[in-house]
Amino acid sequence: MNGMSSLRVENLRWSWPGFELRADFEVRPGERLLLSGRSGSGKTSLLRILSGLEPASGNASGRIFLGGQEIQGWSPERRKIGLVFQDQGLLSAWDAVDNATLGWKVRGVSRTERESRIFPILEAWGLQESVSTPVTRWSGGEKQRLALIRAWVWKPSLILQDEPFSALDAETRSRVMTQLLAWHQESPVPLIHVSHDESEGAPWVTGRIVLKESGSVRSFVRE
Amino acid sequence: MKRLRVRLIQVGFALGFWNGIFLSAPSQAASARPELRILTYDSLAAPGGLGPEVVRRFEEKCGCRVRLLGVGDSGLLVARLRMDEERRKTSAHLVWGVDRWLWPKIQKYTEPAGSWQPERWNQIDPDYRGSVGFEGFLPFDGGALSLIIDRKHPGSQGIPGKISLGKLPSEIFRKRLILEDPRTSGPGLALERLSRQVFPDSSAYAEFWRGLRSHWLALFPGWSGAYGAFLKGEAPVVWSYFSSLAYHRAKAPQDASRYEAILFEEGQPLQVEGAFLVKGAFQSSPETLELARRFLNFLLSDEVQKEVPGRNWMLPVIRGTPLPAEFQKLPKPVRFLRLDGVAGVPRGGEFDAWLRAVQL
Amino acid sequence: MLGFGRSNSNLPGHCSGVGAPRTGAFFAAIFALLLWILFFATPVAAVLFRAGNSGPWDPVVGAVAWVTLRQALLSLTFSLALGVPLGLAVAWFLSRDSRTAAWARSSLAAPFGVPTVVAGLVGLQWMGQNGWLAQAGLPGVWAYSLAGVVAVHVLYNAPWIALVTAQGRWAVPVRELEVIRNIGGGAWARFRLAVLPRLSSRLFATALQVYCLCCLSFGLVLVLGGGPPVQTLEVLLDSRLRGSDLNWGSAAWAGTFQFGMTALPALIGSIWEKRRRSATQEVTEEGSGSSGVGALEVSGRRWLGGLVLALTALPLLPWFIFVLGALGNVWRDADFLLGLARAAGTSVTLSLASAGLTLLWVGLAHLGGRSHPRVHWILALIQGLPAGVSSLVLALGAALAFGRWVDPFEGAWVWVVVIQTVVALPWAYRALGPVLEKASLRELEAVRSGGASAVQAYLWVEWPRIRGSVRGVGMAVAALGLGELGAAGFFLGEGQAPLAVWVSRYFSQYRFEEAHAVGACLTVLALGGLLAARGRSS
Repeated sequence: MNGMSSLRVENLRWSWPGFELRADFEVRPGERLLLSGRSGSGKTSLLRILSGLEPASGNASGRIFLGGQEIQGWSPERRKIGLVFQDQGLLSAWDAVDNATLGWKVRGVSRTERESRIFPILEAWGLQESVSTPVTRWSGGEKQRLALIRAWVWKPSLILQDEPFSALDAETRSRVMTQLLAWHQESPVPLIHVSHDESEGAPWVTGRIVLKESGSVRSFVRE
Repeated sequence: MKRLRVRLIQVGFALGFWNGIFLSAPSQAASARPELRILTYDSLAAPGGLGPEVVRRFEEKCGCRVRLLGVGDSGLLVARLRMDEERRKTSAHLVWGVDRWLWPKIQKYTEPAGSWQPERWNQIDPDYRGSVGFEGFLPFDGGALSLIIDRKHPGSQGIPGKISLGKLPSEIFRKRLILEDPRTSGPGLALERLSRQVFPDSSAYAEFWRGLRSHWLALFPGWSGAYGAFLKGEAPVVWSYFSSLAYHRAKAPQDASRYEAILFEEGQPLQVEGAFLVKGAFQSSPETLELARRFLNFLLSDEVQKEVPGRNWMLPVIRGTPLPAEFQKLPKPVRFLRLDGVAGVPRGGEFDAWLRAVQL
Repeated sequence: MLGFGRSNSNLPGHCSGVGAPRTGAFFAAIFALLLWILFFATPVAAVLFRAGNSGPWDPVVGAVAWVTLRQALLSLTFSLALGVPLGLAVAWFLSRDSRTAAWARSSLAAPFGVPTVVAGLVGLQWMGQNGWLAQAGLPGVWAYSLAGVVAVHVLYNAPWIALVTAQGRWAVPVRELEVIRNIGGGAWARFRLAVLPRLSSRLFATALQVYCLCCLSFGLVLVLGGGPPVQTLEVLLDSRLRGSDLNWGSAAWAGTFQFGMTALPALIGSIWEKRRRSATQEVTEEGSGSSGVGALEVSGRRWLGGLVLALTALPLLPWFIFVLGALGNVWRDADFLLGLARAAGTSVTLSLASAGLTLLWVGLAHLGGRSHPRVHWILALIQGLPAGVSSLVLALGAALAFGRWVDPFEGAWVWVVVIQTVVALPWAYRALGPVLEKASLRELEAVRSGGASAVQAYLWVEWPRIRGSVRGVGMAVAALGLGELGAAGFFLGEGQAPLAVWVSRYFSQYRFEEAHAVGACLTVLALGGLLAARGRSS
């Protein structure tokens, strides 16, 4: 079952020239942890490591468990992690429906079915008017909402969000949060929310991961 | 340093530009001398060819200026005439180097001879001039065509020295023949004309060419490509000139027997190149007509005729012209295909039958 | 609703207020249109008009058209089958920002510039009855046949397709690949969703061009086709325009058919491409090589890089050997060298002039396109049309339309330049268009707001960005012009003979060594120019 897996990071060490990242924490199902820290502190890198996108170089060590299974060494596509990219990463050659339902598309769900399932969501998120416009011409806020939908709708086992609200105005942000909260209650997977803004998402954060710096070593631990 | 190099390259290009485009056109120097403009095929006009030599000598004699424009091959000469016809403006007084087989196509562009006849007309070998009088086309050089075989080529074994044309599409020649396209090549045209004479019946003619289609290795667009491939050993047999044998004798006298001619029992076709005056070019200047006629006479002079073999690899048309050693013992064909043997070539679409036989 | 700040223009650069003022753009459009009417439409119309009352349908034209089509489609299929996998396999290496990668890119693009005169000779050297492949025990019968023509066409075009494929591959943003992986897409999904859309538009355009080139193929077919059973419409056209088979009516049929076979697909292609581009705006966000494929995935495999370099240099090998084979005693003959230098001067001058005119024309058309999106569309459409017309048809048309004002003895080298330009135009426009359209608006705006004039802004921002591509395309056009003979045969005057003419001259004078040497000189000029331009531009 989706909601029942927890994320456990044990003694993770990852180093780049002049910079080492360490992490040791656990996120239980249904938890929504805020990870904040100044720009360039390695937040994005941590999310990339968890997703399997960051290639191991130098002396990487440690273990990552998701739902009791060790996923370290798994390819990104096997991990079932929904990552909301900071720059959205929309596919420019495809339209909004294909982008929003990418998770279903790669699993072979037909266009008709995807449309019928996604249109109500797009409408609820205030995106229905832009559906026929190429995503490359969408505004930053629209793109962010689309990226959030894409990461959530296919029900991954873990959600990682990298600055997902930065381009949203206050009103849109609160609507989006309400929506995400509903989805998360329905499918309570572990969630890490990255923001450089300490106060962001305050109403729905259930805990924190904090960054401790000592020299070139940056450690991420639970508060 | 780099800047200097760039500068030098620029200067080089600039020089090339002026040199290649402008300076090479001598017309820039305006001249009061009468001018004779001659169209010819490219290799005759090329430096080292016969053209520039003849022009130099003629200019010395006539006190005139001769301009020689080489345009591609002899087929392109006809296209130029057609073009002049389209634009209603003649560009040349004289065409030099056109194939006699194209006479039906060029006759309409020829200034009628009237009663004028070149001085040495009667000394021209009848094989080259035909039996009728001067109609406007002045034979200037020529030569018989034949299959040439390389006896050192492994594929040459068993090929006899004399055959009937009808035997050309037979197993022994399969993929061992290099021929030329009659539409674009003089020698190719001569072979096609020979086949017309040998197979006057259209179905036999089509049968022959359809058979030949699966036997030739390649049908090159021009003689030079064909002969180049032959020399590279692509095939043991090529359709070429008797004079090719002379070339090989001159190049490698010790190996004279390597290349031989394969003769046809029906005879060999001749290729004759000639000159003619362009119709409408002399309307306003009878003195240029006089000059052009002097040039025609000059082409038949011993002075020019004896240069023909050495510079153009063809035979002179005037009987008794002394020949270089390598030209003296060329093979004797059964007979020559006389030019007047194939008459009445239809205008336009004349290769339709041929193309249908080889294409469809 | 919540949508804000969405751009309204289809193409960057339109009506932007930055760059050329609109009146300037408007005049540029008119000028480009005039060039097109004068240099393309008029000659083509002259051919059609003059031969308008041509005879009835000629069945031979139909048969030849069928052979042409079959040959072009076969050549295209095999070029794609070979080029696309090759391009995908080596894309990671080609995308690198290194000297060796730049060389590999150049060597893939270079064979395309080899004059066909030389390509035919090289084809025989390898594939002939007595060629190297035959001597190595492989059957040599496939030269002088459809297979021979197709093989050389593939040798010509597959490397180019590989390069285009690789460019499409490295235009895929790494982020898109990551998104698909993250969401559970495997290699196939990544290819289908991220790579294929970028490949397809590029490959479609390139495939069309390859198809057109193979349809118009002339020199290679003459040498390797083995005769009329394998000929293109261009060969038929040539023989009926100027051979002893002079028949302009049938030539018009062949020309019309040829135009239909090539211009129509080219037209459809350019409409399709425009639609696609305006729909996805793909061009705007394609990065340079660095957005690349997998500097991450495959870094540090030096031997593999060496292997790829060797693999991509392979298409250059035949030409290299051909050039080496020409190093004989002729190079000590002063007369030969003098003649060669003169001919090379003529060739280089003509082809550089063609390159210059082509670039000017493309620039005008592009600038003109900025006046209005519809003008842009029309200009793009008509610049693509000459893809279906050969230099031979253009030369004939120009002679018919403007011959009245040309003295053949003086020659009209301008027309040689014009015809080479028109023939190269569709390709050059397509190759440079995206680069020119990808204007760095932000930077332009920044420079303009800092007080720079339009010209200054262009020179500071745009020119450094585009000059590499401009140089590359210019050199390619020049290389194509080097081997061109159709126009030269019609328009060069007394004593003006480019290198390509000298090849056949020497051949017909039994001077085979000299002919080979001139061919080698052509090859060195064409390949050298291309390699130098690309090497520097990277």
